Parts: sequence; C-alpha cells; structure tokens
Amino acid sequence: MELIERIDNAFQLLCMGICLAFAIYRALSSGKRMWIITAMFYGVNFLAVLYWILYLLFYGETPSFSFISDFCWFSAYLFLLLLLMTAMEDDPKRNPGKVFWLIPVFPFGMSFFYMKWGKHLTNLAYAGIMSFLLYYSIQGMRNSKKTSGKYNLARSILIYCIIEYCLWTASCFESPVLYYFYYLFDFMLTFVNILLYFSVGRMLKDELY
Amino acid sequence: MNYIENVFICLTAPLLVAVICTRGMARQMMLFVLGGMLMCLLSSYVSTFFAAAYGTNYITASVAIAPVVEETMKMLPVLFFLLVFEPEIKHIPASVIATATGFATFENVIYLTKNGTSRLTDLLIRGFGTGVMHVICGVIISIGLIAFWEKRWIRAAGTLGLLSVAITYHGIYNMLVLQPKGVAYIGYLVPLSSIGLYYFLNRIVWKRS
Repeated sequence: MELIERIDNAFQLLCMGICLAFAIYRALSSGKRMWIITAMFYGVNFLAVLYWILYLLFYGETPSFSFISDFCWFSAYLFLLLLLMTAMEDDPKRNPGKVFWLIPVFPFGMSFFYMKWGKHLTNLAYAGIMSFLLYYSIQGMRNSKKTSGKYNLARSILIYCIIEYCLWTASCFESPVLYYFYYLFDFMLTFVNILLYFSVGRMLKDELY
Repeated sequence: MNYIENVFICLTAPLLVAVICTRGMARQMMLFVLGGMLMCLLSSYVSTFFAAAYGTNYITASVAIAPVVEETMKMLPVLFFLLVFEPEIKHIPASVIATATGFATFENVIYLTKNGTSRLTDLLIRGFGTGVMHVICGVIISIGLIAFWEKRWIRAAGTLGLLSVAITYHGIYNMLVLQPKGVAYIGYLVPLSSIGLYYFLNRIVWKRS
C-alpha cells in the first residue's frame, strides 16, 4: 500500500468518523428526519471505508470482491436520495419536461463502459441509483431559489455524483497521471462529504426562519 | 466428511415436536430458532456455490462472500414475518434475536463436529466470539427495524442500510479473527465489547436522556 493511499484512506475515515459523530448528536438532540438520514449516510460510508482500510492493511491490496463495500456504498447513495426526496417533499409537483428523461442515458452509458472492469449487476445497480440522484438533484436545483439551503443541498449532491464519476473513470486506467487524479478526486469526494453536513445544516436553518 | 444435513435433522427434530406441543410466544420463538438453523444450512450451500463460482480461496470466501450471504439469509425469516404477518413492533427484537441465536447455534454445532470438543479455550472463544457476533448482528438489525419499520419513508432504505451495517460488522470480525494471534484476540473481543457498549448506551445514556 502506497503512502498516498494510506493518507487518503486515513483522512477519509477520520472525516467520516467526525461527520458521523456530529450527525448522530444532531439526530439525537433534534430528532429531525434529515439528520437521521444524514447520520445513516455517514454511518454506512464510515463502515465501508473501515472495511476497505482493514483489508488494505491486512492483505496489502484492494478487495478483489468488494461486495461488502459496494453494499454500504449503495445504501449510502440510497440515503442521499432519501435526503433529497425529503428536502423536496413539500415542493409543488412540476412536469420535469422531456429533457429530464435523457438523464439516465449518461449513467447507463458509463455503466456499460465500466462493465469492462467491473461486475455487470453492480454497475447496473449503480447506474440506476445514480440516475435517480442526478434527476432529483437537478430537479431540486431547478425548483428552488439560488440562495436557498435546498438549492445548496441539491448542488452539493450533484457535485458529489460528478466527482464519483470522475473517480470511477480515473480508476479504470493505469496511466500514472490518472493514478494521481484518482487520489485527487478521492480527496475532493471527502471534502464534498463534509460539505454535505453543512448543506443539511443550512437547509434546516432556512426552514426554521 | 461432514454431513450437515444429518446434523440439521437430528437437531431440529425435537424442536419441531416442541413447536407442535407449544402455543403462543413460545411456539413463535421456537419457529424462529428453527428458521435460523435452516438459514444457516442454506447459507452454507449458497456461500459454497458463490465461492466455487468465483473461484475464491477460504480467506476471500470468509471475508467477502460469507458475511453477505449469511446476514442476508438470516434476515429472510424476519422479513417474511414482518411482511406477511405484520406483527406489533414489540415482537420484532425477540424474533430477530431468536433467528440469530438459531443460526449461531447450528454454526457452532457444525464447528464442533468438524473440530472436536477437546479444547475448552477454543470452544469458549468460538462461543463468545463468533456465536455472540451473530447475536450482535441480530441486535443491530432489530434496533433499526424498531426505529424504521413503522416509518414508511425510510423502511426500504433503512432495512438495506441496516443489512449493510450488519454485513460490514460481520466482515470486519471475520477479517480480524483470520489474522495472526494479537489481532485475532482483538477480533474475538469485538462482540463482547459491542454487547457492553450496547448495555451502556441502553441503560445509562438513553435512559438519562
């Protein structure tokens, strides 16, 4: 395991742990649905990273069968989707328009590309959940004011999805340049995870006033 | 050669008779213990199938495949009970923990038939390590089901999230106990310390709040 990989994983685990602790505290003290979902999002992400790090530490390589981490990450995306749907549940129902039906083209197109390296079923599942996440985040941005907390949350989740795609794409190639880009995107993803915590806080603060 | 089907028949025969002779809660609990044992038998087939299909060795199968299969199978009787009989929420924890106990008991019996009963230390570690770990996973799932099952908005995502928490916990435990002695001992202590933490949270923190 290289030094950059250790630093990246340790940093990610630390950030997830801190965010998880804060989100649990907020969920217990406020009892708000949004904080409960956020805590669960960080919880499953934290466990996925912990499993990944321990595997790297004990076996010196990434897990050849990543079912467990995939399970956790898929649940994390599901919680993100739930977070978006909860944030948007009071919005008036608007016709999304025909252009929105094009959103799944990108995730499913990319999933066929990733199938060269990964498992077919996992890629299809990720494409499905990513289509929903992209759809709801774009819809959320379209339906809310640019200065509102809801817009901020939808934008953070959209950025999260985009960075995930950059990360997955960078991991497909063995070029040394892209290899370092992979870690750069992973660091960015960790920062977006932290950003999500503040976005949820801001959205709930907006609701309060 | 280890004929686990024969062991299963021998163990479950008295339980089956007891199911016929009892009524109410006692019958229900015995059925869940039986269900747990059956799921243990079936998950050994499913794990072996996937391990053979992917051509994995013993370590990869224990760390990556068995946790996913075992935790998913263990949840099936409870999900069936919840979806078909729609029980009161107070009946959920006992059903989950009885299933987990049945599962752990059958797994321990298989361990005994394979490894013998001469070394008490090994058996104590097995009983209080792996056996308790299965019960802990049941506790994790039952806590979550109590919290989420009646809230429709998080039922599906929450159940998947909990399942991934239980799977990852199981995976991390298996990974630790497969390491050389020092790390393995930490692994063996994980379930008992988790039980301690659970009692601490349950009795002190939550009651105070």
